[in-house]
Amino acid sequence: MKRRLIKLSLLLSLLLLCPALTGCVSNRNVNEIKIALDIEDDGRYDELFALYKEQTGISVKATYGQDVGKLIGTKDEPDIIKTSTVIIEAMKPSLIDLSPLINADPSFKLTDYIDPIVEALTIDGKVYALPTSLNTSLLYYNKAMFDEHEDAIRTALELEPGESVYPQADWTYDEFQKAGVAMTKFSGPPPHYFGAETQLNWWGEWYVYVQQMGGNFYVPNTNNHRVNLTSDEVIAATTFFRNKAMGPEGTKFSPNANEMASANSFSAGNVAMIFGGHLGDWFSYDVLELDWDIQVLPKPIGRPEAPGGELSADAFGISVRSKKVEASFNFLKLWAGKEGALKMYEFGKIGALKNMQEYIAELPSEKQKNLNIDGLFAAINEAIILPREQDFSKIMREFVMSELYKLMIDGRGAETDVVLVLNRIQNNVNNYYISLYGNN
Amino acid sequence: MTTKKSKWKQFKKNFRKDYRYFLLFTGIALIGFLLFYFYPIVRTLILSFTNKNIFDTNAEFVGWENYLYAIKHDKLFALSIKQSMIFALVSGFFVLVTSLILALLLNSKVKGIGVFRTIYMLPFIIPSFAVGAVYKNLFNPTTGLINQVLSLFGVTNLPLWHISPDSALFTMILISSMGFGVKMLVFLAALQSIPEHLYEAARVEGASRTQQFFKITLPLITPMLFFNVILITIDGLRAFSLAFVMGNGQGWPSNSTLLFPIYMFMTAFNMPFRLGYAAAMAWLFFLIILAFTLIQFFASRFYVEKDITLE
Repeated sequence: MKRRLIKLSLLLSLLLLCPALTGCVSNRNVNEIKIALDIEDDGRYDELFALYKEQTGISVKATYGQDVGKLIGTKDEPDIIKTSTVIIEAMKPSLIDLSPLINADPSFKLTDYIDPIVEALTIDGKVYALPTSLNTSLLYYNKAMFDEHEDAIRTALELEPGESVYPQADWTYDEFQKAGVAMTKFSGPPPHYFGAETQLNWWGEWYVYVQQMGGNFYVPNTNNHRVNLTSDEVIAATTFFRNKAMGPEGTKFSPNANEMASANSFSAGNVAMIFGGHLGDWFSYDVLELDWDIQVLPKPIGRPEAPGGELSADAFGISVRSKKVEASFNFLKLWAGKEGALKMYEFGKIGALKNMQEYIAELPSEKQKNLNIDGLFAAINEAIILPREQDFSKIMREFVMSELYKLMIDGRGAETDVVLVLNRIQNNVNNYYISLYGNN
Repeated sequence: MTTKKSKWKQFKKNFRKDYRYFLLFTGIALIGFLLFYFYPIVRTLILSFTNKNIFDTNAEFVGWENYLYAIKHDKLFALSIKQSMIFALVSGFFVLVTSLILALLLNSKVKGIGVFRTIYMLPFIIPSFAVGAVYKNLFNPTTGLINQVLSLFGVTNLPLWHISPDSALFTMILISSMGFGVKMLVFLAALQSIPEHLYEAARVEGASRTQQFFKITLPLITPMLFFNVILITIDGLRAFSLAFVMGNGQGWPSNSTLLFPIYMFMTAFNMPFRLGYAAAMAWLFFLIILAFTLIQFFASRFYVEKDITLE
């Protein structure tokens, strides 16, 4: 009886150990590299992985929807890790410096990539990741809404017959506002319509207005630890941002915080434009069967040379714990190169290669997108990389947008004095930096 | 001497036997506790003295710096603690009163009481995330049912609920007050354990229903009341899901729904991923919860009936 029990226990233990042992064995598979991708990428790049296997004999094992932070925390990260120009500063301790690999490979040229993106991924002369797809701010517009309000827009913009009512590359804030107002109906019984969205959960729209009007968030030539938000430019930008949502009839063309809660959005089909919308939503607009297109961002009146919106990029680097650095780098070259970029283009992603527009033009017509691709690349060329400061997103979320929200609400808790609110933000942010770094 | 030795041997033998059973019955749970609770607790304590961020493989020891920064400089830490306290105390009070009233109602002997008990328990089985999403729509100032009903009653200055920084926390408190499920069950169990003859005797003596409640019911359920107070306070202080949904995961609007667990989560898992600092905040918060619980234990001396024997 006792022997039987011992045998049974041994058998059970072996059975339990089997999965663990199998896991250990598979970890040592030299002919496999691992990559962690977003959940929506599941199955999208299988052809690319097959191509890499065909070229090198090494397979790529992708996992989807896993939190890279947790994987790194548990020392179970894949060989190739997703990062971006925004979080590279925080993630660099987990990534190897790719510069020696890049310099040792004559077939690879870092100069093939858009310069500001490469600069953003380079810290102290070390390249930590290769960019795969870009993100930039654009003006998105719902063509169906523009068509529906054609007469009103023609009158508002004083357009000649034959001139397009859709947003143009030379639009100023004035045209943006006039067209927006012509499509807005926010009083009376629903349904309500608005000319443009208001971005309150994210800083992009306000920040771009500030940038375009010639303002700066951080005081120039400092180490990005001090802000000045009481300049004329920042006040003008914030006033425009507020008025488009809170102004009187004839000025207002965006939902305020109260109205946003009623699902007035571009995706819902009752808001005509998004100022500063990003590339990541292309796929969802198509799924929603919206009739939409893109244009470069309008500029402030009298500032045609104003910069565009934000520019950022998804990028991939190699884990400091990877034992397959060379194989991973070879895959990165393919992933961030022409083949990878064209594959990603099918899913609405734009590669960070300088020749991307030419590559897209070479595609057969059935793979082309019926969008203003020239406008897209014009927007990329005039866009600006976000400040490299590791607390930037925290500051924006917790100090800036939380206070700006009060300017965008009608009722209890509201603020109406733009300068007062900007002063408060400035003090809070500066005090935050002083508490962290002193007066440096 | 011999007796002493044999006694020692006997003790060792029994201890080994008991120990074997102890390990047999608690072994798996113990392993789970050590791996998933004890280890993370110790690890958090170690992390709290470092400047570790999620992606950092080599964190530096910074001593008490994280703790001092949270206490001295971090206004959002203070705000989140304050709001968590308000949330825990006010919503806790509402939950306590609601669950007691409902338990009293559900303890009555009416036909179909089982159906009512099931109905009142139903909200408890719905995840907080779903509850939050539903209530967000109900409390929508322009299209929500609540304001539409209020306007039917002639209310003109309709509240903005979760949209306004002034009322968002209060709205969250109102919603969380519906979370009475388990607490109501605890009260119900306590009420059902009170022998009927006590009430019969009170009725014979001519005691009113209010007198019966304050002289019999309330004193006899005080141990469960105390248990619920502890449970509700801790639940309130560590509330996360509802605040996450209501405040878009960021304490919106204007940090007015920023409860401590949300702030800690944001600090650890949003840019710049300050894991060490979040760990220090977690330990400070633990001390606050501990202090609260100790105060409640102390206060319980004055209202919890001891040595209750129900026959």
